[in-house]
Amino acid sequence: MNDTALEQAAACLPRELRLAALAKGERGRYEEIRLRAGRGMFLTGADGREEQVLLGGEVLPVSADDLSLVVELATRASFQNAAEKLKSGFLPLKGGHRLGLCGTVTVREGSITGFRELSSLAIRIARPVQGFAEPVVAQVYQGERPGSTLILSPPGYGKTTLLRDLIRLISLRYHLRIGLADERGEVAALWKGVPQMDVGPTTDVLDGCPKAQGLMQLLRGMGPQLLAADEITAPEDVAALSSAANCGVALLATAHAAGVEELGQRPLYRELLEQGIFQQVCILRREGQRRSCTVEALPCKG
Amino acid sequence: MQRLIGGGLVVLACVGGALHLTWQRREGLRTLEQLIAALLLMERELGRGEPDTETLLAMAAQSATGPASRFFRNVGEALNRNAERPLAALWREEGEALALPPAAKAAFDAVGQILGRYDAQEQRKGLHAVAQTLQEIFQSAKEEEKQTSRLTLALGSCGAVFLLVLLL
Repeated sequence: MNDTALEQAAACLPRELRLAALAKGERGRYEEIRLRAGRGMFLTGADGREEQVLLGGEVLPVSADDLSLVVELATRASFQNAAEKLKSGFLPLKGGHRLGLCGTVTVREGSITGFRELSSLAIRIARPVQGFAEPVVAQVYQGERPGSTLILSPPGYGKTTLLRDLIRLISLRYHLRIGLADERGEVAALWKGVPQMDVGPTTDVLDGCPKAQGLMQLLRGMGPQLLAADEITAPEDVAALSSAANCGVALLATAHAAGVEELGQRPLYRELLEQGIFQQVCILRREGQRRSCTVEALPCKG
Repeated sequence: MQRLIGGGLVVLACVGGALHLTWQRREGLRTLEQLIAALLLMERELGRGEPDTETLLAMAAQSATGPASRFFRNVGEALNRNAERPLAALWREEGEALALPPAAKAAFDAVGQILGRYDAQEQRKGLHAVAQTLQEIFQSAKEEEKQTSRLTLALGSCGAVFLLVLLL
């Protein structure tokens, strides 16, 4: 079994560890590679269980130097460029994969600036899920233009995946100019200017910029017909969305809430609803392993 | 006549040898001076826009000439090939060709442990400290070189005269 995503994610591992990971990867589909100094390498399956990688029945030795080398290879020996990204909790890798680090940190002015010593790391393997938004794209895009849509679900249901796939499908099918404010690089995962996750041919991505500023920057600079952002969490985000909506731009965003009722219970989102910025919500639900999404119209304001 | 020519050649060889030794030492010092300047350049550039390490190495290679320039170019190329080896090892290995005095080599090797490993501010601190150490080594080596040059030239000349007397 040739797992391209695993191969790409394992590219920043030292040779011996990479070969061992790929050999194990031939026997299953894994979501993560984890290295722990002095304890070895583990691959996490889709069920969340970790399996230790053994070499000839023995635990594969992993040292703190191996972890440092992974970071060096992942950043192409340029930690100075990655330090800022680390504040969002992970380092982005080519292919949209993510590298999370653990160890003794160095802190300056309240922010993590690096690691004095590494104790473990996790490479989360990104696997694009295409077609996830297929059942709802026609409902989101009604008539001449898409209706401003807020994607809702509790954490871990796949809001970002749905947002990404909606952007891709709208770009691909309707050729709309889309501006994506990708603050944490989770949606498009830019790498040297190229999105590592498919967000369609007509999507302009602003990466690493605070959402509120990013939305305004895109609005002024790129003339988008649709503005997209992941996870609305601050009053500034709501203000920026409101400004964009007043300029006649359609919006696509995500928020943590199980439904409209829960959304209305939170002051930040209540304001969003009261302003009538969004015309509809797309609610993600999960029943066992099955995920489904439905589009519901929001009551019209003013 | 033949003796005179032979004598002349002996004098030339001795003085030439002494001059060559002096030139070699001066070249070593010039290389060290260029390496210090390149480290300070990298420190400055890291303070400006945080360029990646490959760009920093290319800048350093461009700012220097001769062995110093070759060193930075070679490290940059090795890094670009993504040889699955730590920068510290590439730095140390390429540094062998620089023929630096042991104290300077030890200090210079430390840069490989700093560059690209920390955030820009930490790297700048590290580069500055190494550049300062190398500057001190350079100053004392320069003083030493002046005296050694005089001594080498004097020895070369004495040797030439001695051989000349023996020959003629």
